[in-house]
Amino acid sequence: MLQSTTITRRGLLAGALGAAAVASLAACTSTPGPVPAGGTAGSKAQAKKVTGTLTFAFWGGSDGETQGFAEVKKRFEAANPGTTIVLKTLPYAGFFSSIDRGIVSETAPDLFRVDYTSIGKYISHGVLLDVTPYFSTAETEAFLPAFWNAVKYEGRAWGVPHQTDTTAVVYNKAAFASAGIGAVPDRLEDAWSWDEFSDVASKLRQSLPASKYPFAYDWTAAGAYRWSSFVYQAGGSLLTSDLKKPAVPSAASRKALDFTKTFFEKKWVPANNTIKTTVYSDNFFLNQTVPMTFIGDFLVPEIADKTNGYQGGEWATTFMPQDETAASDLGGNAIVAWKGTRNPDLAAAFLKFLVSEDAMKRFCELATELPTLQSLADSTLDYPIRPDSLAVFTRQATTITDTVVKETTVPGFASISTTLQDQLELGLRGTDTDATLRAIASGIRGAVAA
Amino acid sequence: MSSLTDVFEVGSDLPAVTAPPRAPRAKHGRLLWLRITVAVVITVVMAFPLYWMLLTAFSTRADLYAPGLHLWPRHLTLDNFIQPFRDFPVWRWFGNSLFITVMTTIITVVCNLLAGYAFAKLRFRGRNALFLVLLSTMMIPPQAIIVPQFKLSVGLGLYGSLWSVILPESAVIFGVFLARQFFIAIPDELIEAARVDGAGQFRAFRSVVLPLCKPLLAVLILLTFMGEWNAFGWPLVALSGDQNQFTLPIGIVADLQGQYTSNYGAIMAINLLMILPIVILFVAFQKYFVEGLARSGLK
Amino acid sequence: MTTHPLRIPAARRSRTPFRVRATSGLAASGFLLPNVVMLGVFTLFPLVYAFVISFQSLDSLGWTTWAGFGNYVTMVTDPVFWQSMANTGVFTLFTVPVGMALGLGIAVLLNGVLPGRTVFRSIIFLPLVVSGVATGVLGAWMFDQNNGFIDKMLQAIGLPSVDWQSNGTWALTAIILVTLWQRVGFDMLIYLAGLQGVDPAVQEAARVDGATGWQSFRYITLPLLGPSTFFLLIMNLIYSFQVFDTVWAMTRGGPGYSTTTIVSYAYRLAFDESGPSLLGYGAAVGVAIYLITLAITAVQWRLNTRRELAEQGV
Repeated sequence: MLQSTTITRRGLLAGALGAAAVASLAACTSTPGPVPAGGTAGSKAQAKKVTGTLTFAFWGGSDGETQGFAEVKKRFEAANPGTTIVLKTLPYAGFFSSIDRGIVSETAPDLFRVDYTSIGKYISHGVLLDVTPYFSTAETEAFLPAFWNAVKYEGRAWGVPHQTDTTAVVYNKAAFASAGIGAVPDRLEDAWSWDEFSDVASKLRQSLPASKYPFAYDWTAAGAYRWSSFVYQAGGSLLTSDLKKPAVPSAASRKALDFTKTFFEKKWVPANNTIKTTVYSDNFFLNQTVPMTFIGDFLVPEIADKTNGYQGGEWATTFMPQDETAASDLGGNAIVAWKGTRNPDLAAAFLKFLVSEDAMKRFCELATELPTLQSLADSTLDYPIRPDSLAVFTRQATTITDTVVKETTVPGFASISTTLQDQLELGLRGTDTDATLRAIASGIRGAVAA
Repeated sequence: MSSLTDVFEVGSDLPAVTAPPRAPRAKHGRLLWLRITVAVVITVVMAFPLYWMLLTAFSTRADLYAPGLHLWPRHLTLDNFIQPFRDFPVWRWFGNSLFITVMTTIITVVCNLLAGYAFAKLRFRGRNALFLVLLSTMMIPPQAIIVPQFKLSVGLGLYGSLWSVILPESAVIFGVFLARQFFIAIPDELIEAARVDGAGQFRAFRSVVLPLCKPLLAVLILLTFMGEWNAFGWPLVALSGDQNQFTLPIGIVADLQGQYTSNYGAIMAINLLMILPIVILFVAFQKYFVEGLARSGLK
Repeated sequence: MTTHPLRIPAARRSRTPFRVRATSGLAASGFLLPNVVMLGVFTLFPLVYAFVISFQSLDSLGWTTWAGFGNYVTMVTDPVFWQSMANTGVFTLFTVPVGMALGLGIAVLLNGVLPGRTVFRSIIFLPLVVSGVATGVLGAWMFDQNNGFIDKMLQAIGLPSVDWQSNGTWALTAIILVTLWQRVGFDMLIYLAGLQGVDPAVQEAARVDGATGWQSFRYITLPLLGPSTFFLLIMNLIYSFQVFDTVWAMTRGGPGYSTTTIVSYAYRLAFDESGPSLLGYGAAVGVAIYLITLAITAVQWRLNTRRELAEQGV
């Protein structure tokens, strides 16, 4: 095709280079940090009349979450005539990329949802609205301290802790019975030890055909940090106590990685229950590839759904295994406002409304998630779906230790999360334990130094 | 070009290359049957994945994940279509895909026709050099310029609207190349005659040249339409900010694959919906598709 | 003399005396402006800009610092970059020659008189109009290692199932198979067009001289298909080297990096959420992709020019 035109190769290359020489560009260098918006704590805490329209972007993790946000929006608009909150649902995959592009292009939503593992990135880039002035001391003290700390940086608050969630274990009762597994722990104190858990997995392995597997773990994609629950259980941590250096490799992290590697070696989990896969742990359970899975509480409605949910029979919930100590991951999300919002007062008013006791209770019940307010955390909420299961998750949430919260919310955690994804993908699939831990350590070092 | 379009014409009576006329009848017959058998096997293998997509889209979830191999449907259902339409703005995606594709096609084809004509029939200084510079853009992989394209569409204030896809995707050289080849074959005398009658360049183009371009137009329109309907890389970046602005390919990858993960019934249902318009166009305009794709190498 | 349908002889004719002379530069610029502006703004300018960004370190929230050659140094020392280059190489090696051989075989098979050959051709061609995304999504389902068709079929005929998703080699194999499915129709089409230009009388003459079917194919038909082969080679090489849609929709580059091709690596670096958001480094990889593409094309060009000269010399 090309050979009989009059174009020569040299001409083509010259054309390309000519194009490259068309313009020269200067790019500005910019790296601003977080800027306090002025105003002391509580100086704007007094409610005043707000009007206007705001956009609130979130991902609908489940029907319950979508419903919950829709209801809170309606209530807020009813309580504040003249306001409109436009809800913008985005897919979880790509959510933060699109928020970032929105911020760069000055088209970001006024308010958006952000998980505790990512909030540090936004705070350190100085793109969030400083909400310190809008909260009085009494209001901030109403939160469980760990969660209020999660949205704080250098003494200022950059959002509100909206809810939390954590991982526990759901299992098929019939499969357990046919594998000869007797009593399953129903009190946190009695949670399986690692040895007991291994015993359960072995028994399931023996009773299941080769195409089925005992369980699946929820460390896929951004969930990779949930692997560190095993490190915490073994008595270790990812960071030193001053949060400045990696605390791996350590005896605990070595033990955790070796233990989790056996999941694959002994065929306890499906071979594609890795970090970089498109199949999440709840899907393995729903497909009945596994009779037991580690999931977050927000997935309970999906599993419990009559038509599209779990069709494999009766299921129940139990606790994460424990070793030196019990531990589970810090899940859940804060809601933040973009610094570029045209109506900061309205944004702050909506944030405050979201974390008011009534609204938080209602949302958490609909979404089957856990509250962050002291007053709500002390009892189990009235969950409409599988309250028995949510009772287990609520108890499990008490094992989200202060160390877990502090480490999960350091500003560089998004990078740590990426490192964990990359290295665990290799490590769980057979790379040498020490090499993997050293690589994780070097990733963490880079992340906390930045 | 006639030999190319013959490729798909029914009853094309070109002599058979592989049929030796003097071979014994029996051997000839056996060979023919062998060839037919091989052709049938290949065709079945090629068609099967599409059949499987169709089957999956109309099967119940229970059947899809039941053990064992079942080659035909056991329970038919429309649930796989109903669920994604309930959960996601699928019609909006369809509409966005259509709008972006139609606008891109119009802009691209107009630009390409005009430029192709200029490069073929008008004389001006630096014609070849300019053509070469433009042609070199064919070598640019779209992903190589995605970062600057993003910054550019922000700078131009396009980001956040469907035009952030339409305009960059309309900047292509390939159609110019096709159009130029086509116009060169049109005799100069025709244009000359119109010019002698006092028509300006644009009028001569519109009244004399354009009516001759129907085959070219068909190829350009079909190719651009198909390319844009299927576009993925840049729209994935440009449209990610608003679910209501997704096109079908983005919706399928970002929303359906993300949220349904292994609910393949629903994913295949929308996949089917996405490829259907192109398949219908293909069946209707096969000849032009064949010609166009043969020339383009599919972008 | 047969003219290959894809060879455009008209360009030579344009050197003949040109009669539409009364053209002002003004009219020409009127015709050219829309296309030149579009290409200049949306393609050439971003290309130049990509070079600039490739010397910066730029993150997803717009933090920018000059990095000098930092990104390029990172690139040559980045094992994942080299792994994705290797993956792309393997992918290209298996999709291009194998696809072309299959396409040629099918074209020869369907070239002669054969009942229903138009139907055969159309169906084999059909996957080509299906998008890369649709192909990838379909491939992910067919090769799903828990419930997919391929493993169920293997089991049904008594073979062990294959871990298409968790084993890197098999995952790449699956992508190659899916790509061959989509692309073989194109190879068939071009070879069919080429075969129509082969004069049956020449082959008949060879047969009279005692050549076997294979000999006549090898020494007569195949050389006459040279232009088709060249065209396919250049188009397929560029396509395979820059593959993205199918890979992204099918595996996202996993497991590990075992199906990460060079373009999907560039995308992951700059834009993927679970990636590191290194936009400057992503641009540097993009620049590398551009330069390599240019090199591939130039080499092809040179080889072809030599081939054409050799042919003309006969």
